Amino acid sequence: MISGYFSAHWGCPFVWTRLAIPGRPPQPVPFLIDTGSATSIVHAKDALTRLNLAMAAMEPAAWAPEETVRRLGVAGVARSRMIEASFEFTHEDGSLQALAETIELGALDSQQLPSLMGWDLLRHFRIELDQGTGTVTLGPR
Amino acid sequence: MVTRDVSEDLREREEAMATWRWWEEHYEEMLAQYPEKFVVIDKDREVIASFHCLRDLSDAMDAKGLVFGKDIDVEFITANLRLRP
Repeated sequence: MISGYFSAHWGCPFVWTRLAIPGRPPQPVPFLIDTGSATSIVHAKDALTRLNLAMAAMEPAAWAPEETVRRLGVAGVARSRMIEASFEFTHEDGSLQALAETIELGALDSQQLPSLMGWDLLRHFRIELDQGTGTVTLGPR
Repeated sequence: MVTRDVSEDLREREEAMATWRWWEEHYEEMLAQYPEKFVVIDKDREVIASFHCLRDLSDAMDAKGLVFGKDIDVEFITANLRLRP
């Protein structure tokens, strides 16, 4: 089981996982659990300040067309880049669950947003969310 | 599932989460002083800089030779809870 928490400020559930992308060592990154999203996305602030990616990596002009996607959200269309990612979820009992997924890297204009964990990762877990008790758990399915 | 010594992973995550909790506990006072800005704190959790733009922040930290996660931590301070991707 992996425990997260409800952010007092955002009022949303978050969970931390270690995330590695090609050429970068794994780093702990907080993700907002987004049950309305099919895919996970690392937004620009976390890409810079947690994964230490260069700013140029978040410039859509530098992305190859085949790795660029236009993502439809409730507020409109945003561009993101498909990247291979390895996640390490450390359970409370010390066991490690490794998952590899193709996720999205947000462009620089996503800099004000938290990173999102969507169903590409959430499908691997039994999720329990209860804001009343502050419960956020990802358990084995 | 794989098995290896995850104690360092857990320590690293606990350290990161402790800093995150500190941001949450101080969010209101940060919001009063640095609304809609990226705020940079050092290892002693002292505010050392704030920026409106991530690019300016990156340039300034590069110039000072500071490393994200090692020397400094950053949070975007906003009253807007309706941010959407």
